[in-house]
Amino acid sequence: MNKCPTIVDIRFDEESLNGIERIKELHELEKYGRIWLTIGNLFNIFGGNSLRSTPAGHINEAFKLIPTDTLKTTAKTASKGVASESNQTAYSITQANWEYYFQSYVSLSNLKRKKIEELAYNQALKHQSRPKEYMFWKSIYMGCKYE
Amino acid sequence: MNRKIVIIFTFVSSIISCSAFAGDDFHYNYLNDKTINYSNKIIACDNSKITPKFSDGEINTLRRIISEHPLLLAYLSVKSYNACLQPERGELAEVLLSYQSLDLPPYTLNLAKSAQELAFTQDYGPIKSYQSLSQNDQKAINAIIALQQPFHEFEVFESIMGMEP
Repeated sequence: MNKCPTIVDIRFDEESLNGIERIKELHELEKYGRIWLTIGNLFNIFGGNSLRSTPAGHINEAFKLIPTDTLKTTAKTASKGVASESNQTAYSITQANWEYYFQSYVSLSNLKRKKIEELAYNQALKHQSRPKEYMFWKSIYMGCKYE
Repeated sequence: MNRKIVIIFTFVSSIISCSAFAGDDFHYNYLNDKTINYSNKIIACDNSKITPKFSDGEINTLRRIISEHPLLLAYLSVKSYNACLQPERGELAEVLLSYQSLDLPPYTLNLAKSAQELAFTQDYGPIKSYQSLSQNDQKAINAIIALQQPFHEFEVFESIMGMEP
């Protein structure tokens, strides 16, 4: 993330406020997509072609890779739901499974980043006569986060 | 907190309803493959952005038009960028469109819905801005070859308008 400028006493017009709302929606969409991505990958691993026998313990290592608590809880719940004998059965979650999962995970972030850049550029062009808002939207485009 | 509970409840419910589909990995993986390809192409197109050099005549034309229609530059940016994103963008769009009429597990359909909204929601303001130009101005803009490939948007805008970077 780039160093973000300090913008004092900025007042947003309605157009900018709509843009900020849209960014919030994009963050939500990404979170929502990641949750379904997690569920889909668990179905792939536990219910699909990737099911194999292996020594116990690997699954816990895999869960450690899941980045947020919400997704971790979901993943564990889902795995129990799909594999009713999860205490007795161990699964082989290969490096390829997880690389694929994280590639998918990152791809949603790229889609969101691209949309935020488009939105920020449009907003900056609309606010070229309002220097503070122009600077704000340029900063968003350059990678400053609004969350 | 309540929201998290609702989300987790939704997942557990969906898992139960999805169990009939367990093992149907093809559509889910195919969507993921296309999304990953598209994402990789975004990175490739970002890396291919240029800072074009304009002639004095082009600068004058662009400055005159953009002063009145600032979103025109957004139109040109999206147009050149989307051209760069082909064929991956078209392939992802085709998958997302075709999945709407298929009977697929909820996790695949919901992932498709998220991907669709993240990749294909569009602001039509820039297109309207382009269409509001006169025929002559449209021709003048279309003749600027340098803007037909992805460009560094702010550098281009600020250099056209004579702004300090």
